Amino acid sequence: MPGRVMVVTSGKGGVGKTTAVANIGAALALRGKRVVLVDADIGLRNLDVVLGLENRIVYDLVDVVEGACRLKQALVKDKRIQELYLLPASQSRMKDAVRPEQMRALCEELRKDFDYIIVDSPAGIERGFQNAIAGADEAIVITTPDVAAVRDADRVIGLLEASSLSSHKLVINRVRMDMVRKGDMLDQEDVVEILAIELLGVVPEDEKVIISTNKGELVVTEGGSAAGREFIRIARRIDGEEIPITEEEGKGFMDWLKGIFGRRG
Amino acid sequence: MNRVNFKGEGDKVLLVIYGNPAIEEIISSIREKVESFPGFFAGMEVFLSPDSEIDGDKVEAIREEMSRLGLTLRYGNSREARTDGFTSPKGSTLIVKRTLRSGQRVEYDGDIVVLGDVNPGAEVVASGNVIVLGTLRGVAHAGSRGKVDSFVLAFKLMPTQIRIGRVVSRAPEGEYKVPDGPGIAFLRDGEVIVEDYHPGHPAIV
Repeated sequence: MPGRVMVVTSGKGGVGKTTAVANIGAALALRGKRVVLVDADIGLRNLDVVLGLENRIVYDLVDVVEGACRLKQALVKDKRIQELYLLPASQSRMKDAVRPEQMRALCEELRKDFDYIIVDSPAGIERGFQNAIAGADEAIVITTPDVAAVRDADRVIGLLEASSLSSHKLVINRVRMDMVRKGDMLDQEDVVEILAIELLGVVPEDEKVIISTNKGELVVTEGGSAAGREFIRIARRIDGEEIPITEEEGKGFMDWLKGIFGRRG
Repeated sequence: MNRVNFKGEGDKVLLVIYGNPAIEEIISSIREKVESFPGFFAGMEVFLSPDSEIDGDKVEAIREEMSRLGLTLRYGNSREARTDGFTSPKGSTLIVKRTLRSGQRVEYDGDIVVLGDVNPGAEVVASGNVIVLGTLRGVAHAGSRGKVDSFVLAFKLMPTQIRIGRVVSRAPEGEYKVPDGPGIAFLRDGEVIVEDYHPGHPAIV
């Protein structure tokens, strides 16, 4: 069966796209799926750093599309997880080194060998974004619960719809439940009401993410991290499991209680 | 200054006409521009965008000349006026059958009905009324060509800004209570008034 090509995108920068790509991809690979992470942020690569694979890169995505190397030569195997690969972005070239039709051809090629091809999109809605979505079947839109990020996510969803990429799901990242409870932060209902697309997961703010990112480690493999647990749940949902979005921190205590009794009844 | 010009706006091409030039001037400008870029305009849809009232005979003459040159003219308020993704079943109402997201803009010479929400960062501009069967959070402009008895009506009215005719009104700063029911905005004594809507509201009669 050919693999699924998913693009992870947000519009606004700094909402945690790259961290999400790395962790969701790793969680899928831990389930035994063959996964390749494609860094489409050409000129500003950092997925390799988050994965701790920076020093293993020889060739990159631009080399592949220009025919300077074979696709297999450019794929970097993860050092921890079997079946997890990275196709790094070029750091020295600019975004116009790649055209959408080249990305499309590349994704078709990867589809033959992998179950999941996860494309990390650059921030913004220009050329790099158009490249990133070119070969994708579905999109994961990431936002944080603040007005600016939600506005940009809305813009991106509009562009995805216009480019007939109609399968898109939402991840709300870096939610601080303490602030939501005090009414100082948008809660997931507010965000979903505006964006009106299917919710794939709600990831709590977790300082372990920053610590592990700086060390080139992943919260999904470290354990003991609330964000890591939610990324694993997101991966299971992507992989077809039905897990309701009522997690321990995602809602208030009463909702949590209701969830427990609801499940029994 | 050139009073007749082609202009790109978003993914549309507009034919902009300033003031009230004679039909001969309009036709010869169109011909000159189209012929100076052979092939570029072929088969293109061009939206007529005069800055003031333009009479029907002129529109027809422009339409004829355009089709001679292989272009299609679109002009609001006619049965064939439509933009990609939007349909107007009849007359001067444009029905938008989806939610307008940030960065999306709909403009129409007539009334606009949105069957969805208008999100922050989206814009609806109508020369007539704007009706949103959903939540209006973006910008709505009714009576954009000066029809001051136009109104904006929404299931839930919490806009960034409302403009009616030439009057601009913005949401109050900070927190404010949004009514649960539908709301209507209209002009009274040159000011935008926002009220709860009920059937038979004086602003819509």
